[in-house]
Amino acid sequence: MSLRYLDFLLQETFTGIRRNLFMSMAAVTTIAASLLLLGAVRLLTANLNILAASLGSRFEMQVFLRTDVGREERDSLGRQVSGLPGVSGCRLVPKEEALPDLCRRLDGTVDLDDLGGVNPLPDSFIVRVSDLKEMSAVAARIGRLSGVDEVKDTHQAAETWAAVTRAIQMGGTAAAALLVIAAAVIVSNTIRLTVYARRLEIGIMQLVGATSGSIRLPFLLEGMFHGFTGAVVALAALVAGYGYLHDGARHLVPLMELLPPTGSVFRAQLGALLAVGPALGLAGSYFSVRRYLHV
Amino acid sequence: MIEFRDVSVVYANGARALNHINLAIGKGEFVFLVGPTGTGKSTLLKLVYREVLPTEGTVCVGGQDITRLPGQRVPFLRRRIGVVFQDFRLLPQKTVYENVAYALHVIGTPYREIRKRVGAAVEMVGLGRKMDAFPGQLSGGEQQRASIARAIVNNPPILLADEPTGNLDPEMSQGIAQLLNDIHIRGTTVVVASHDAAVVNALRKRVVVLQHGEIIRDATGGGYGPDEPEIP
Ligand SMILES: Nc1ncnc2c1ncn2[C@@H]1O[C@H](COP(=O)(O)OP(=O)(O)OP(=O)(O)O)[C@@H](O)[C@H]1O
Ligand SMILES: [Mg+2]
Repeated sequence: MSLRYLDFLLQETFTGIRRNLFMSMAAVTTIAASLLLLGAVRLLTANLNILAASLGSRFEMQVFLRTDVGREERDSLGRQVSGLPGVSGCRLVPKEEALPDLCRRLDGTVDLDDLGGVNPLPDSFIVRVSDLKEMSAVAARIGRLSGVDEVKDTHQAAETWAAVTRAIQMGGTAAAALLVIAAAVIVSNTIRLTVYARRLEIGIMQLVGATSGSIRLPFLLEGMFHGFTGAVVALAALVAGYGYLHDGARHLVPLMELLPPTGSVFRAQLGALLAVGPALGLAGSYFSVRRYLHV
Repeated sequence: MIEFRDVSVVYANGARALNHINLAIGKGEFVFLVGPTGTGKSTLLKLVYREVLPTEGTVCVGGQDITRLPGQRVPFLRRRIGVVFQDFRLLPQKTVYENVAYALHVIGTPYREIRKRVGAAVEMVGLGRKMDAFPGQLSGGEQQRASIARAIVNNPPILLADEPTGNLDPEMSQGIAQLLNDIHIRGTTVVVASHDAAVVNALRKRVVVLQHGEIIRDATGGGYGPDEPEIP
């Protein structure tokens, strides 16, 4: 197939789209909506997982020390905690490490200079227990030690969080899947209308000896074009919308860890949406071409 | 060039359109298929470009048994056959030039070749000055000329015409008849289904008369109409 022939096929494809502009727009809109939801669910789940990670493991608790605790007292506290029954590990997180670590996870979205050179974070221990049942008892015992400011026993929260994340992921994916199917049906309908609108052309093509492949191709291209356009629209909305929501959330809770709205995050989305969109359009148009285009 | 051997066609609804037809049309011949309505003229033409498959018998085109042709070879058979209809079947949004070029575009002919051949075909049918007109701006006769140009633009050895003058007034019909004869003179095998007696009688070609799906008369240099004897 020559390049010029392809050029002709593309012209035919765009004629088809223009003739059916309203249906084409409906198809593109549904595809965009379904892909937007798909992308949003993926971003939301990724963020929930990050937040879950920051809540800590189910076997760990965070022990924050008072800011007036000195280096020696800190080390002896560490030994004390390690010696408690039920504790299987105790790791020190000095505040000098905690701050850059936090900043790295926030990926430069918070400017250290804004803090005026003061480190607002306390020293802390990550304490590991071997048995979940002992979690509360160990937490209570650590809480009574002098020099300990707060014990964050997060395993309950972590578990709830994981369950919520799973529910959102499943619900969102199911809703997106339904929309994807609806989008495929609408594409298929659009192509059916195009086939109907172009029946004279189809008849002439058959009469003058066009192969069935070249008669079908413009319709398949049309479906793929709908899918591609829908994916581009969804992607643009996702980039703009996520940036906006991310900034809003960051404004409300300044130190909340979120996926930053940067290139690398969207590149993963881009690949997925640009693959799913045209595939969706192709599937919808293929169905109609098989069903309604008898060549 | 075209040969029907003991061909019968029974449509899905049980209608018997053709009944044991035997007919041979030589290379470069001009044949009229005539007869009352519903006697199978269109069906006979459709067998040639494989729009219809015979229920019985074989159809050969250019020495090839086309009843055995696999589906994906049919387009290549059709590239060797031009077909013209009563209703022209031109694309209303395309100009004469574009309509004729369309037939070459869809089979992947290179642009340079298309420009050359479309120009020649449009000149041949006498529409050189109306190349950029849309079908709606043309008379019926001119539209039929455009559709003939599209049928011959790929230089097919066979041209089939089904009631080509059915929608035209007598004067235009004579012009189309002359054009079909011009194409025949260039060496094309031409088969025309018609019940337009004036056109058939003007050209004095071989006339095959069908009735109830059977050939009841086949005469060279014959005519057609009330003043012609039924059996020569
Ligand atoms: N697709 C079809 N399905 C069923 N029956 C058909 C079909 N096409 C034609 N027929 C029947 O076959 C017979 C022959 O039809 P055909 O169109 O070949 O006749 P014709 O000689 O071309 O008639 P006309 O002069 O009116 O064009 C008719 O009885 C017609 O009703
Ligand atoms: Mg007919």
